[in-house]
Amino acid sequence: MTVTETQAPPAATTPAPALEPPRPATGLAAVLGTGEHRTIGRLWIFTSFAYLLVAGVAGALVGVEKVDTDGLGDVLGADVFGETLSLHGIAGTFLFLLPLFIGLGIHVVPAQVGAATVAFPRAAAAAFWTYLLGGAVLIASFVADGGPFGADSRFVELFVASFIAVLLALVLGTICVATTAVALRTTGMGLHRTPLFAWSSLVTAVLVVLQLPVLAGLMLLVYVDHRYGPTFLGGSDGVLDRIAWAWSQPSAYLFAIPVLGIIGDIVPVSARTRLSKHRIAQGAIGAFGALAFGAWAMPGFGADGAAPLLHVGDVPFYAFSILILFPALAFAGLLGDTVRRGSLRVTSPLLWGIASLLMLLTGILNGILVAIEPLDLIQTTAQTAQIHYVLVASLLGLFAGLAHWAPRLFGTPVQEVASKGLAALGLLGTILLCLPDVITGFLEQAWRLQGVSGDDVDAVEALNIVSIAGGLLLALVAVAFVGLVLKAAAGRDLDGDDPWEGNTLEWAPAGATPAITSEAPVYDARHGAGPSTTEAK
Amino acid sequence: MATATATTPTPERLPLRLEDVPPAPPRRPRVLLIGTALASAASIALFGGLLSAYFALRADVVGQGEQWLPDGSTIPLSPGNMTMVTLVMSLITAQWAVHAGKQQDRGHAYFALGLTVLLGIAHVVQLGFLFTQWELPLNGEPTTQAVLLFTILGLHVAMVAAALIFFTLMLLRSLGGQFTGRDVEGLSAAALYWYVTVGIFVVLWYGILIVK
Repeated sequence: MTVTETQAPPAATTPAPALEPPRPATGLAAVLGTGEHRTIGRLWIFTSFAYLLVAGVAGALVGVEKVDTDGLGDVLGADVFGETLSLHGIAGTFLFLLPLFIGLGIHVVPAQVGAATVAFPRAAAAAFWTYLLGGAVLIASFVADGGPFGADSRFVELFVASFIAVLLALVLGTICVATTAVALRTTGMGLHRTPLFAWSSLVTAVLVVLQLPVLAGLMLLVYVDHRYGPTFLGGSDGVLDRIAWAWSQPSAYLFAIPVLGIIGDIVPVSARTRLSKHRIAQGAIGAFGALAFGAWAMPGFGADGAAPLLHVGDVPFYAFSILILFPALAFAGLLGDTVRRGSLRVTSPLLWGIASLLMLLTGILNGILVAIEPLDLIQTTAQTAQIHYVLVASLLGLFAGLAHWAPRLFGTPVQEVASKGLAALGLLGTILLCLPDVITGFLEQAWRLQGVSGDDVDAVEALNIVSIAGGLLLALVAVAFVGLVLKAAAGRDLDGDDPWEGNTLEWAPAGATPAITSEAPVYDARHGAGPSTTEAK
Repeated sequence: MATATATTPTPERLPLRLEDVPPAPPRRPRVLLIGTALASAASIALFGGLLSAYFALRADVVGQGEQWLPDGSTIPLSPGNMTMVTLVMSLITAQWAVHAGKQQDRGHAYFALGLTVLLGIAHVVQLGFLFTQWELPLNGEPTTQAVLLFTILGLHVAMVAAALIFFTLMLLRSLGGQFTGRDVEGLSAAALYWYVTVGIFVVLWYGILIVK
């Protein structure tokens, strides 16, 4: 008898059904829930365009009021004029310029420093949604007769609350950008090798972190005073005086800091060389940032009401106004030297950048004139011109950044020829907007609704019309450029292309990160050599 | 008979060369700590701006030969001092929690965290008691002084609450394994914000509650 040893067949193992990975969200859900830094950056950029439109319309209304100096206030009425002027300032700076910078920073800075993403991407997204909703509520409160000079106290308080929310969102957004530049730099990239835009973003962020909370605290005080208190801050009529320091000298220069970094990245690429004296350029941007700190110029609260804690005639005001010229000139000199050493090709980002730098330098000179007390230009249209010079220079510089990084932002460059023409027209529009205001300032035209004294009424009115024409030209240029950007965003046919032969890490081909041995690693990789001893310093 | 002893050959010792030393593992980027430092700077700027407004207004009133606090109002010293001491004590318990977190000592960490939260809440309660003592109503006939004091100190209460939530969250995440061993960046960040919160209150205590 044979015994056959049998083995039980192995139990059939049925593999557990694999869990399907969650399907990525698409459409609106993908946008609403995104933590992807490129998408968040683009959201900031596109939303700032919408708010630019609001700022432009408000500016046009303010300009129309100045056509007839005899009937100042006839078109809008004094209170609505004040509201519109406030909206123009707030939307132009805190709803457009700073958010556009943050959008560029969230998108570009991680790529520049070799990081996979921005620091705290969820916080960056939360900051964006707060900014979007806060800005919408802020504008709605203006429409409902709230805001500075508003008559409806409920909506004045709504304005203040939404403005605080916007400020906090801006602080949070810049903290994300700054932390990326400090903590997420790739191996080999010390702070001294950080590309200039990333460096200027860091300097801007430090200023924003130190300055905007002061403004937010003031607004909180205004809110409590307006809602509960004896309105010792002047009620709704006093709000603009509590805010205006944030875009006046020297704080206005805060908005121009990232522009220096943008131009500093564009010029060497256009000159097909590396930047002269990178560390000195970083020092110039840092010094410019230090001199742009202006929280000390916030309004005082004593018997003289809205007068700043330190003001015209005080040594710090003179010092800040004059000293800031030197880092700006040093920076311009370094750029000039870079162009001299290189082989220049004229690109549209370069033209936007040159226009921006010229207007910034002019604005600084204008600011020095305003600071000279015997000229008596404070609170005249010469001061308005100085603010416009600096802020419009910031706008032109940010447009330079959009034109430069469009292939990375949207996958397609903006149309080069059209962009060049718009840059030239933008320069012309800025000059037409601001120069007449400088002259009317010397003719003692006040910056708000206070008319003109003396025999110069006809000359002032003619110059006002020129200024309005310049503003309209600038508005058309902005609308046309935004159109070019939106067209590029709708394209995406050249994804990954580098039309400029860029120097810094964001232009490295995908998957081919070069060794970081200088501030221009892609330039080094392309030319097969590190920096010469004279150029690296 | 000779016994053979098996010996393992000793490797030849070569002088250690610098290039043979393996590179140190890359450091974890201190993202949270740097972000918290920036947020702390923003908080300091916020209270700095409010305090400068407070001092400017106070100097204006005192410069006109008047008393800063209106008649009938007073800021009693004891509640303010007690709440300041309470917050300063929480510095010790917060550092204790951080140390225990580093050692993965759950018992001590939870106990120290609980004490810190308790002291934070005690601070808020004591400050609330002080608000009832100083006869500076915000409703009824509000004064400039009431607006300033309630705004500044009320905002600090909000900061205390935010710091406590941050601290608790980071400690729980640390004990959950996110920050392990010597890598306690989250805890250090939360502790930094707590220290800044306490530091700001010490300035408010002296500048507002003591100087009056």
